[in-house]
Amino acid sequence: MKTDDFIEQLARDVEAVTPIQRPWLRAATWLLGAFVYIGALTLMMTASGDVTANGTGWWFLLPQIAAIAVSAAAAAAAFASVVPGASPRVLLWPAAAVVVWLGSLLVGSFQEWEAIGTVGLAPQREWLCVAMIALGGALPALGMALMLRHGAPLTPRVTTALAVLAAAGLANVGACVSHPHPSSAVVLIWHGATVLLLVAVSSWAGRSVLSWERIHHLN
Amino acid sequence: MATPTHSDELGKLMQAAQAGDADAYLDLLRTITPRIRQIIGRQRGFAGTEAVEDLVQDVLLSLHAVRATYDPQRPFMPWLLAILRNRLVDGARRHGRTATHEMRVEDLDVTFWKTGTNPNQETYRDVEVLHHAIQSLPAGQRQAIELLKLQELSLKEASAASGQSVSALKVATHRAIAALRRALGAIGNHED
Repeated sequence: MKTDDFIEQLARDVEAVTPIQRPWLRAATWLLGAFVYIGALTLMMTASGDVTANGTGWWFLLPQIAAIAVSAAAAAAAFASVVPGASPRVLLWPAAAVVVWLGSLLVGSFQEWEAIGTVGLAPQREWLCVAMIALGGALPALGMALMLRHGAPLTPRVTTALAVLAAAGLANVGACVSHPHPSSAVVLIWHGATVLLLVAVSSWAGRSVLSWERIHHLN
Repeated sequence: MATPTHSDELGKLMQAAQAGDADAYLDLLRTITPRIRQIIGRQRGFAGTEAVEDLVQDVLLSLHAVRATYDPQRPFMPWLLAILRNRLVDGARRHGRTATHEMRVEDLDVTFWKTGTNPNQETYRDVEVLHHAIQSLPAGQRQAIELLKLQELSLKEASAASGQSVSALKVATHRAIAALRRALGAIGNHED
């Protein structure tokens, strides 16, 4: 088909579409839904029903606040990454938030080491946390993937990695407050490794989730 | 008709296109296509005119598919160029992959084995039902299947015969096969 005919066909078939909302607004919508879902899941997983019983103090709260910031920044960056022409600087925010999150856990581990003489790396397994992060984050990640498919798959690997970082970051907060942890080092290793592993896997699968071919077939 | 060249004017046309205005969309596409062709030609001109036109149509199809991502508050050209650059990189990657893994062979001097005695795993045997399912496809999809699968033409030959672009043929074939699978699967399940 000649390009002129192709253009005419596209114009003839054009249907009204609603422009997608700004990335930060879409991120806020997603974050609200994910927050409610993971909050409810956390309450169900908390034995006493009192989430404040499993950790208090600055060195417990700071990583949780940082992880929520990771989630918010990664969600905004993921939604921005499917808008052609959006500034790539938005990608710096989740990177900075991850540094603050992991840094706060690292500093917390040193604080504990100074206070009690050990970083508390007992041979304890935290598979419950791994399951909570992976399964708890799965539904919000799926929701975001569905929202992202209305955008342009410009950087599929980066976009899916950011989406899973946002979901797993929030699920990590749920895992932290749902039951007590022996030390910040345990959280750093088990939660940090789980989140990073999920991000790596999602990045690897990015092109099969978001691709131009898929977008063309949907239209 | 004045030719809009300024990004804001193009943005207004796109905004109208988002509202379903076919004339505005036609103006927009006609205005931006020479620019797209020029940029692609500069970077991929070595691939030949046909390949450049294919890529131009690919970019237009992508633009069409994600037109909802255009924010009328922002300039149009950065949005368009981001899609164009991305599709160019994608095209180069595809080209690289094909060139690395495929070898052009004009004539194969080999003997092929015979089809097995129970070919029902890959081949659908009820020709009449299959024929009926193909006939019930939309015209574009039916033509794509007839040219590419039944007459076994190459994409280029089928494109020349049908007047459809290679991209459009690929999309139509994919959709047709999915529709046939659904239709034949439904029949198979019903018979079981």
